[in-house]
Amino acid sequence: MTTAAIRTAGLTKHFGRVVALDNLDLEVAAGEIFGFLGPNGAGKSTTIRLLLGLLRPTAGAAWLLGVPVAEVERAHRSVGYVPGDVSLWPQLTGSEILELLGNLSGGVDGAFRDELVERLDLDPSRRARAYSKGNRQKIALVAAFMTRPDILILDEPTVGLDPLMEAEFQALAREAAARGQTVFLSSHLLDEVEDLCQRVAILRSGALVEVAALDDLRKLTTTIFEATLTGPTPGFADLPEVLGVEPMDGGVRVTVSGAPGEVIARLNAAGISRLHSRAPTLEQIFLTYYQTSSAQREAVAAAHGATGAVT
Amino acid sequence: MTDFAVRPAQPDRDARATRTVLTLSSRLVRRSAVLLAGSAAAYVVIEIASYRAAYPNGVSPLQFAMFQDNPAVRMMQGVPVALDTAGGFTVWDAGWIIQLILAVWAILTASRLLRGEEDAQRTDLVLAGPVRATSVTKSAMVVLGVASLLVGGTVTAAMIVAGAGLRGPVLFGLGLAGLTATFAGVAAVTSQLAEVRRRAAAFAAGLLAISYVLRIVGNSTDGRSWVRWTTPLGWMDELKPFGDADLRALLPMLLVPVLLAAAAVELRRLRDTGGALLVADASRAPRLRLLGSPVAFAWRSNRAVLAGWIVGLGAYAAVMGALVGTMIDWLAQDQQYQRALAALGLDAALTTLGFLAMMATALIVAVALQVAWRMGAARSEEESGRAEVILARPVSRLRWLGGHAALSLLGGALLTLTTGTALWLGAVASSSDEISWDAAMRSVANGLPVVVLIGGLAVFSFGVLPRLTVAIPVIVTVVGYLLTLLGPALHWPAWVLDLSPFSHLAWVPMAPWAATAGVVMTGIGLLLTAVGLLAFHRRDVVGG
Repeated sequence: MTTAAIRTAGLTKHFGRVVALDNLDLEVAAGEIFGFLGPNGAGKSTTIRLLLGLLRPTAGAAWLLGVPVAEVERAHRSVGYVPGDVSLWPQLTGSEILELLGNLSGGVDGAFRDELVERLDLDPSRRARAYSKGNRQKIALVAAFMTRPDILILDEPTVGLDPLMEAEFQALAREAAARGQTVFLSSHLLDEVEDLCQRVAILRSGALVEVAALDDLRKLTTTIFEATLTGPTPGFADLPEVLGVEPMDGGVRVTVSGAPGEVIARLNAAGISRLHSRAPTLEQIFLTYYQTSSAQREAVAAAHGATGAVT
Repeated sequence: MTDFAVRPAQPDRDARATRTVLTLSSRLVRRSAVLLAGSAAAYVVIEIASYRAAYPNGVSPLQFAMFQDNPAVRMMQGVPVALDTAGGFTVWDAGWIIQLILAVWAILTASRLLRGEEDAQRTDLVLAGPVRATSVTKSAMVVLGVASLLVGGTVTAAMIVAGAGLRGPVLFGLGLAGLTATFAGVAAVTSQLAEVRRRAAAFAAGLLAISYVLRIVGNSTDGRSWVRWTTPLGWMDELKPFGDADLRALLPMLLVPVLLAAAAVELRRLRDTGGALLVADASRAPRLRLLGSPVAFAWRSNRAVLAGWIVGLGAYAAVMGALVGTMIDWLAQDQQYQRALAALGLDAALTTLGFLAMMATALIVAVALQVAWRMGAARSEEESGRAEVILARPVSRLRWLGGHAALSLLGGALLTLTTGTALWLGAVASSSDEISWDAAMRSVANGLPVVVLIGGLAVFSFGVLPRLTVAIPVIVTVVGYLLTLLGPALHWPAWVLDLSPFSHLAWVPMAPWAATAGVVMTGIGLLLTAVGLLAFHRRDVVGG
């Protein structure tokens, strides 16, 4: 059996009385692009900072390529990291920062670094103080990729990038995976993960909800009906196959797992003026994992730009 | 569909926005202002008590003349005025230290409010509301003005309660408030000029240093007393709160802060938020030296600040060295004064080597503070998240923090070495041959165990209570030093005095080095360093 790129066993972190991460068991195979999903505050960054040995676990353990994460000098030789909130030295220029970080990792292939700078359209002669958020993010990306690390740990890496650069980042991530590098990608942007990842883990309130292959997720026999109704919205509370009901303008959105016959019958009885059905996007699969209050669900959906309108 | 229109002005809401900005500024200042006011008040009360204990019959005319004619004393503390009153003695003996502390606080606080907040881009959030940039500056100036009055007023109240009269305390408090507000104004202006807080504060600190030197010049002889009008630190000497008060000195004290504040607001109008009137180029050719390891990089990041300390403290030490020479000549002329001093129990301080030892201890206080602040730089790397970028590379925490700790001590040693040399150079320059290089070096090197102890305490704080990395060692240093200055006069018990690390330093070069105490303090310092490193290894890396 080959060594997992990333493995955690019972990884737990408490901050005072707050449980930031509870008993996480995770295994990411080498060469995989692994999505790590969850809303703000779910414990994604906590997990990542535990993996990097920046936080000390309350319980449990983690390994990077079989090396305990506490042995940072060994473990970090094979790691590239993009932090969630990139802080740089304001007085240094981009190329000075890349030089420093490259040296700390034992030197880098200068040609590859320059290629990355080129591809991300970065001006490295500017001081970090003068960089926009997007440019700081690019520096962090170049710094993470330039050593060709075995494991790339990326905490919401496309924050602040424009769509063009986001596409470039996705290309870089795919090339890295093609070379056999492992990409651990934390995100709350589901599109990003949907395009890139083979498997995703979904984290909620510090606990792992699910680890699944994307194809399996998509195979979930969930259907979403969006109906514009002429009459009042019927009740679905007694139907076990109904996972979610959300009011929408002039009608209702119903998420159904299993046979939809009864749902359609009730919608029909209420007078359908328009009916739209589709397979769920990852967005909606994701949201169905959050059987929390609808207010919270709406907040998450709004934060992620979920579309409410039927096209 | 409705047309979009700018909402009509709502005076109520706008007034509330302005009030909110005021509240925010005052919340950012409040705690340190209250702490400062309390400390300054405590200081003057202790000083008054100390005077009454040391001079139960008041300072005699002989003693008075002795202080007045001594150029060293005049230049350091100021021309003595009204030493026959507790208040006058306090103004003369403690006033200059209090003024320096208040000025430093004003510089740090004003630059934090007016530049640091902007560096952290928090000001952007405020300015997104219906608030003008200049009204944020105005609010800050108002708050700083009120804080200055609070500090001055607290000192006034404390002195009145301590029985130092009414008029003198009021004038002294006004003077302190004026001085504090003046340096807040200076830093407010430099905050418009420089694009980062550190530089804004450094410019203002440079002006404070110049003010201090001008005051030394102004107090050196009566013929040059006009120079005192040119420096904020000289205005109190002109005001003479407990003597023959010259109320004209209140004019610059109250007017200059207002003018500086107005200038800061006007300059704020001229620049962008986040911008500055003096900006460095955004681009430059890379400088790739000292980027090879975490330690090399830590050296690169902090060498400019260390160089500033070396120049500043070196200049101060050179002046002091020159004064030692003057002192020697003065003492040699008059045996009678020497006997008078011996009777006061101050003979040790007023022999050549004793004076040198006393000066060296004061310089070591500055070195210890520098070491504490240097560890604060490591903490701000952690707080800002930049340390995380380094620690995500194959760099162990021990290597990273150990490097910072070693460089702090190395910086302290370098600063000590150059300070000793500057003391000697100053003495040589004033054509005194009484101080050898060897004696000067031994006098400052004597304090190194304290530097190691304080440095160790800073590393310990970093590991155990990171938010107090600077506060703990600085408080121990300042309180420890004040304990040795005031404790003996107040006849505090020996065990209290022994709490201060400075109590364990011998008067080198007058007395031989206290080897046991030195070794013990160094050992404790190293132990604290080790505990701090270990604690950091075990704890989480935490941001702000």
